Amino acid sequence: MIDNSTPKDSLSPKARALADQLGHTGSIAEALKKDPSLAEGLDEYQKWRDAEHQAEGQRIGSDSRQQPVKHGVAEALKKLGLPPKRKHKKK
Amino acid sequence: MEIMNAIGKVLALGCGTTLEKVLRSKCYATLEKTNKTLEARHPSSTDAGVALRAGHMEFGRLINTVGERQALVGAKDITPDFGIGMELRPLIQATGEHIIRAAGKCLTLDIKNMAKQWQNSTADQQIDICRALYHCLRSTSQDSKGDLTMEVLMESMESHMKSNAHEVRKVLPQQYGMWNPDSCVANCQGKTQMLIAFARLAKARVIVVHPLKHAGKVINAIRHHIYEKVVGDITKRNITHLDKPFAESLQAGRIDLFRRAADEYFHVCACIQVVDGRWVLIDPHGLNFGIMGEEWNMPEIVERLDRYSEVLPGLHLLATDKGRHERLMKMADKRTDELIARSVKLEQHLAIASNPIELIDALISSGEIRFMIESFSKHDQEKLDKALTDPEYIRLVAMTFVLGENIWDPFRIMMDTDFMKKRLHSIITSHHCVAMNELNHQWSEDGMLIHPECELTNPEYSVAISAINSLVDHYGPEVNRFFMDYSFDQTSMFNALRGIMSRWSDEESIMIGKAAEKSLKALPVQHPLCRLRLSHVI
Repeated sequence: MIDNSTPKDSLSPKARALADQLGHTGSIAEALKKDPSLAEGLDEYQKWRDAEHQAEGQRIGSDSRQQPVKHGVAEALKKLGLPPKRKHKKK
Repeated sequence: MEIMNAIGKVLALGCGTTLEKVLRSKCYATLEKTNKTLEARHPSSTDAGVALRAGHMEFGRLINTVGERQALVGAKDITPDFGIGMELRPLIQATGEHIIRAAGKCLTLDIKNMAKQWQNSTADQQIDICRALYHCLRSTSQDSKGDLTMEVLMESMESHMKSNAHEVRKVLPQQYGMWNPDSCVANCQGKTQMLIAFARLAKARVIVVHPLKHAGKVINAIRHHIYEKVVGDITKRNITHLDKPFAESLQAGRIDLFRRAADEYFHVCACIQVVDGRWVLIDPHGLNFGIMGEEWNMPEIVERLDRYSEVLPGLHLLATDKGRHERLMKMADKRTDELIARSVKLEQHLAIASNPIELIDALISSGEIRFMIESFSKHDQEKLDKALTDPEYIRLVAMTFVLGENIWDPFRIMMDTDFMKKRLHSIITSHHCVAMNELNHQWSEDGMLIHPECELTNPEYSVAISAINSLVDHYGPEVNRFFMDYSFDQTSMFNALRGIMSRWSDEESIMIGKAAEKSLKALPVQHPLCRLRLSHVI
């Protein structure tokens, strides 16, 4: 499976704050109530959020209400992660 | 009276205008004038004239059963009991136009920009715009809630019930308001209205699609088949020690399949034509997207709709994928068989191991470990390819798979007399899990699977008929008569069948019900709800 999630790095600080706080499903109104200054990053955040929805659609595909079947093998693999980069030491 | 009330409500609640204003408008006057000259402009010697005089009900049934040429022969000199409602046609069309205008105001700036972009785009770029539009009009509540567990299933069922409850979902533009994926309550009709409004802005050709067989149902049938195969194989091979997450997913999956099997409804979406003539089905509410292949014969269907659109605006034409979707079942079946066969082979290969170390070696030498990692890893392919070249990583993964959750507890491993059996069963069922998850992928979004049986019709007129149907308070004979006079579609016929399901129905309801029954029975393709109701008529 390919991870298509959209990077947040390119977002402006306000949009990034919204993205960090809300992900792509949280309530915008609530966030703005707490910190109205975040409205500055709203348009940019909305675009990021739309891209996230689109990427999610592509990731999940098909009937996206369908939840994938779980397996212990997948969980084990998730816990294990990828091998770390090796450090090459001078001998 | 009931119909006029419903139209009044559609205009007032949904479009910010009133019935009186619409009846006084220039647009209505023009439509009415055109409507009055229909017979004169289409004499009975012409094809359109024959259709006009045969009416929606007779001509709709004939053209959808015996083909156009034969239908024109059969419809000549017919005196129909239903289907020739004329008086309200201009009002229905005007109501549809108001709905689409109001729906245009619900489009976000992004969608409006897509419409602007459309006109300077190539066919492939327009398909990309259609795809973006599809994703844009999906609701957040439709997103996957995560891996299949009992808790996630309950959450998904709850969310589905809450977000699709009749009192929550709204049909009319002013009720659902500006589009946003989180809280806009537009139902399939609302989303279709927005798609039509988009097409009007983009100046693209659009038609309305009423799926009679839903792509989601095809996917569910395939999933059910795979589920039965997987469970059958597990039982047959006496695989008794399923790991916990897989066992829970199987249980939740069974409930999920039953829940979805019972979920039948009438539905609507739209098809937009791109500049090279191809038609793209966009159904963000029913989660289906794709380009209609040649098997749909779209040019002929659309040409036919055009030919009769003025004389029979409520005509719905049946179209199917000619059984193309059935090959998906065969593909899925073959793939499941392959995966099960590999699992059997893996079991035989691993059976030689008598302790965990030998099991690790056997798993590595089986040649299946790479496939297992690729199937379950969520890392991107580039990183994964790099990791898979590292033999130490492969060995570490094999150890993790073999030792399972007790990897850091050797004492527990040693004390567990069933340890080897449990781990073997866990490893060999990973292929079953892959088989079950294959269908989470793109079939209903990449055009491999499109709603395989549909009714196609004219946009504004059909949108108005559906909205009026949703706003009617009481289904009496007058209401059913209206739908049968002004449209030929299976939703209307389904409603009319009610007249012959009760022994206390009045004479007119029985007559209307019988006409609907006659047409439905003749049609080669029926909506499952119609089939069900037909089996209950007295």
